[in-house]
Amino acid sequence: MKEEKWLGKKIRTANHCYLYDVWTNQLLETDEKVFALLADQEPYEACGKANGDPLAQQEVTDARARGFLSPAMPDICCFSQDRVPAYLDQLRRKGPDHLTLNLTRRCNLSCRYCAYSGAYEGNPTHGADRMSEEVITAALDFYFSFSQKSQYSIGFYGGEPLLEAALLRRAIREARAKAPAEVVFRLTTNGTLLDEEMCRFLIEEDVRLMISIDGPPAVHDRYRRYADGRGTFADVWQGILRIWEMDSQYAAQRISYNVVAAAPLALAEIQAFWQAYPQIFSGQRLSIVKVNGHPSTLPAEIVRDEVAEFEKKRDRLYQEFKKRALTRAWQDEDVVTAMFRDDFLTFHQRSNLRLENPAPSHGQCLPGDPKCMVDIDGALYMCERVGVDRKIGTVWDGYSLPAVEKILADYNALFSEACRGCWALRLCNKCFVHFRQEDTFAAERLADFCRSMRKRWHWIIARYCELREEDPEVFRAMSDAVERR
Amino acid sequence: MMEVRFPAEPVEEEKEAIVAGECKCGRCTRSGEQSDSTMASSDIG
Repeated sequence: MKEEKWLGKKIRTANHCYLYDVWTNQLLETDEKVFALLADQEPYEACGKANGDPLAQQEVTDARARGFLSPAMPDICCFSQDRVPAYLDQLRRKGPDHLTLNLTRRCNLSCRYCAYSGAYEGNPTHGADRMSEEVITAALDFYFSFSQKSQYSIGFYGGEPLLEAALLRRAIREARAKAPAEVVFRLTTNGTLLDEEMCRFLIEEDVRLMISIDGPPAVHDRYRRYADGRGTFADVWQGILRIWEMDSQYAAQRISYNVVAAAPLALAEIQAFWQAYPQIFSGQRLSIVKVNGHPSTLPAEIVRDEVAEFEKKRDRLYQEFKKRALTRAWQDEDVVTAMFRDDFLTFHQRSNLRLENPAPSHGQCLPGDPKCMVDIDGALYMCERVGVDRKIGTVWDGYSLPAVEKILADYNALFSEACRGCWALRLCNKCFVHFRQEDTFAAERLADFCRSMRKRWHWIIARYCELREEDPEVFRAMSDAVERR
Repeated sequence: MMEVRFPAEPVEEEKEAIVAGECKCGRCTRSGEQSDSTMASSDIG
């Protein structure tokens, strides 16, 4: 018996069968016979073979009459040709919401997984180069030429931007003098250079800090080391404590933390560390990011755990998330929250609108909007993550619209095929970094990301159903709790 | 009969994030941008 094609995913929990229908973005509850009748893009689910049960067939026919389970596959259009001129015009008129200045290639650390470690093809590597004062002036003039904004946002990046303290001070001073409206400063730092003078400066200028800390000493010092091999935890921790001691109100409002979750993943250790220091971490935003597996020469054992090992660690943390969710024991940001909450809420708050045809592909941004990165030589790039192969302009000439248009065309060429028929089309968060290869895009790299992304969403949706079986209101309550914060 | 279960509950005006500039990757963390985008943390598998 032939399986019925449709655009969606079969989801099974212990006692129920569900269908995630992409066209309607809805979950349908069904029975084993219908479950078996429908095809699955990547059949993780154990289910019987379609046996031609006429009742099951009739169920599918009835569902289709009500607009569900359509066998049609939408065309995919990332940036439709007729809208491209409007996108480019918007970019030219509006400019970036956020400008990142890459002050220096220098760094006092030598982390193996760093994007600038030399392990990544197409990325610059650490070195002595720094941004000149002329480039800073031109970058600020470029950004402030978009004079209609009510707020400007400038980030400092490196290398380690605090190695260029004089340049940083000059840039902030000049930006304050020139900005047509309020300007907010942000800085990403490895946290090793937070001496008293620097802390005072950051506090006075109200700079939003993102400090990289990977966990307790034994976890952090595995990869975050000085060039001579010494671990950096002690210095980072001292800097964090200093800034809290100098101005706890500033620290509570302006510091967030970034954990690079390199393998072997130490999720439980990081969680225990976070819980051990509520006075430092409670209520602070935490981001956990993975090591980007490619295009790099990093060994696999740094990039990710074996699947079974990862699932075991994830499931252990998930049990804590589940307990909190079902007892409404909401807690401030920690590893459990950072790992799961946003994904579940993203799914819960998904659109109820029917998918359009042609359908958009999700995740990718418009190059240069909302953010733009200025490299040390004044070249503009999409962001700090994308290497230096696809320049989209310069601080002197502004955006190169042909370069942006070429990226949009390349997106369309890749996604029109790759996203066609994908059941996770409306949930996707792909990014340029997943499929870039020098100055082109690599379909096989995208396919690798797609497999992993679908597997992740399958797991999330199945847990989502289980939680709502136990407590139908669980995500409304979670959503309300987040809203109240 | 097949029934809709666990309906979605969008919190904002419903629209697909189709248009340019609505980057959902959320990986703005290293720039210190503190984006409100989701999924910054969740794809470590």
